[in-house]
Amino acid sequence: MKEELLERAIKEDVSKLKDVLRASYSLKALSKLEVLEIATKTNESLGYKLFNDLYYPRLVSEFSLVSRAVAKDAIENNN
Amino acid sequence: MKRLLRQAKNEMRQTKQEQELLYEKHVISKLVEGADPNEVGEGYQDYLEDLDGFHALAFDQVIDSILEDDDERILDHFTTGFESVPEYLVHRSGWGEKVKNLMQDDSPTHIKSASVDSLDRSRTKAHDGVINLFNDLNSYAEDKNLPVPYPVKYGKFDKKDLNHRTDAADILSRHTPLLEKVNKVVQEKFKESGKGETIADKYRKMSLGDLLDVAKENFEQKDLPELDLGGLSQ
Repeated sequence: MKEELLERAIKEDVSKLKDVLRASYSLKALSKLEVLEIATKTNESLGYKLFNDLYYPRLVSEFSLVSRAVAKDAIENNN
Repeated sequence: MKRLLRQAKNEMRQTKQEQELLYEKHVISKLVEGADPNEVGEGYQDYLEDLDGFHALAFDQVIDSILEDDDERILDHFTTGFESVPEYLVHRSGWGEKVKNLMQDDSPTHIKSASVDSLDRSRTKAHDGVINLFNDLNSYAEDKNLPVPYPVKYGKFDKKDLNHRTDAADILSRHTPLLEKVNKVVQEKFKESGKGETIADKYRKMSLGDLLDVAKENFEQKDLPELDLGGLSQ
């Protein structure tokens, strides 16, 4: 994942990352297909490939990274 | 905004490691030295203070316990509780910009005011949800005799206290997401129960003799089993 694309997604419209956030904070396990669908739909919604590697273990890690980055920005840069 | 990804990566790697080091520094070192129990107790309090409200290791233990709890209502309750986290983060994100755009709108003042109030109510409701979640997770931990994941000095977050609300939000900026943990636990459970084993997995484990028996059976029946290719078939 490119840092500048993540920053762009957060700055432009975090609501487009909502499904990624929901997946990251869900106690119900998601299937590989569900994770893949969220990644591809998010890319479509954003209009660029935030998730450019659709390999499942990588997506799981990147969803967590996105969530942490959104949380840091939301709390530290928005009062 | 810059280096958000880098910061997130570093925190993911370091949080638990740092907390383990803090525990060694404040508690284990005193135990090993044979310190007075009061000193060990004080050391534990110093440790909790240094955690600054979020105990990542305790959080992991609590999540493990919830996922293994026989009472499904517990899982349902906390699944709903965790939904407030992404809600709050989306509301909070870009807050200043949202309010500014509303105020710059051409609508009459009373409409703008109602829109801002509505935004504010949604954010407050989500924030209340996060605070309820933190309190509930702490209560659950105490019931199960586990360390609490949110060891704040005042014990219980008060939704009416602005400082408590700020603390809860601050904790979120450092909080561990669930996805990796939950998926790992579920994958391990499937492996243990054998439920996650596909036919392909079974075939891989067979001896040549067993494979030939299966091949003979399938050939005679000409009714090949549908291959479940694990992740690819989902």
